Amino acid sequence: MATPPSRKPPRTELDFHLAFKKLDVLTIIGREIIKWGGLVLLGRYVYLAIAILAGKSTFADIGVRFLANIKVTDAIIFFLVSGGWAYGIGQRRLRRRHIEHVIKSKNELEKILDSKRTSSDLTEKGTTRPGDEL
Amino acid sequence: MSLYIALKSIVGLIALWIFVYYLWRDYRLDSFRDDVFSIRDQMFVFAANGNITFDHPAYTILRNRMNVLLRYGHAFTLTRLVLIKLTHPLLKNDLMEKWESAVEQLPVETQVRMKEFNLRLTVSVFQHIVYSSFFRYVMVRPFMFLINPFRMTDMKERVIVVFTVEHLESDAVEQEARQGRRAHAVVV
Repeated sequence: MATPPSRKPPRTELDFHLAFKKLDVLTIIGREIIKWGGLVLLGRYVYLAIAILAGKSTFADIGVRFLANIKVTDAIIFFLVSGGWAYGIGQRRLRRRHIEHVIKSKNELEKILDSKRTSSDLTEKGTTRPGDEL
Repeated sequence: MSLYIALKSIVGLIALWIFVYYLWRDYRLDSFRDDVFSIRDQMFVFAANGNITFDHPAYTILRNRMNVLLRYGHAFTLTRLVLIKLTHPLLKNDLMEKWESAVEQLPVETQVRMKEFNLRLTVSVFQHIVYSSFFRYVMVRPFMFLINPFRMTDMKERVIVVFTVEHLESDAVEQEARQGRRAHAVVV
């Protein structure tokens, strides 16, 4: 006896939500594998570098040889890069502190004009809310 | 390879890892949020000047979209955009249809400005998606001096790009709605 052709039921809103959630999970897993995989690979290089020297040199030897090899140009690059990092991180901290200072009064002033004013629900510093992080 | 070079490379790679995965992402996200806040503020001033009422659907829908983008900006990645586009190519964006019909009720000058706010928002999202990866930024940014695909006049012509970005946004809006419903259920 022939069976009637099966028809796919139309997808509901919940089906879409589930599908998007699966995509989210897939993206997060992929991202985390690449991110932490990179760090594991770095760790392996550190291990290999140490393993080659095992029994041949002490940490003090390595330190002395490392410092003895530092050239002026390397030192300049080091200070330039670390200075850039410190400057950037400092600027970011300042900006976030500034946002925290001005945002309250700005929002209150806007509420005078628009009583139903909606918000982005970010933190007072303008960063992602802890519960929203992926 | 000498020990000195090996140690230098390891320290450099660790620093690069921190930069790429933490500092760069934070910076791009802050930059994107700054763009959206700027558009939202300009739209607020536009409404405060009496060009559109604060409760008009064209204003509220676009503002809500901006709020959602600000809140979930960290979730907009190229991988996610590609996956959504591949798995749901024909997904309709009802919210944008509602917004478009609400805009059509407005005077022509207001329509033009509202559409401009919307387009600027789309450009910001697209730019954020492209630049959120440091390596992509390094590869793409130098060419921006020659050809700038983020120019608003060019973007107007690229209906597919606008539509694709709106896809991703509608997913975030739904996520927001889901969270809202869940919060409401908890409160009730």
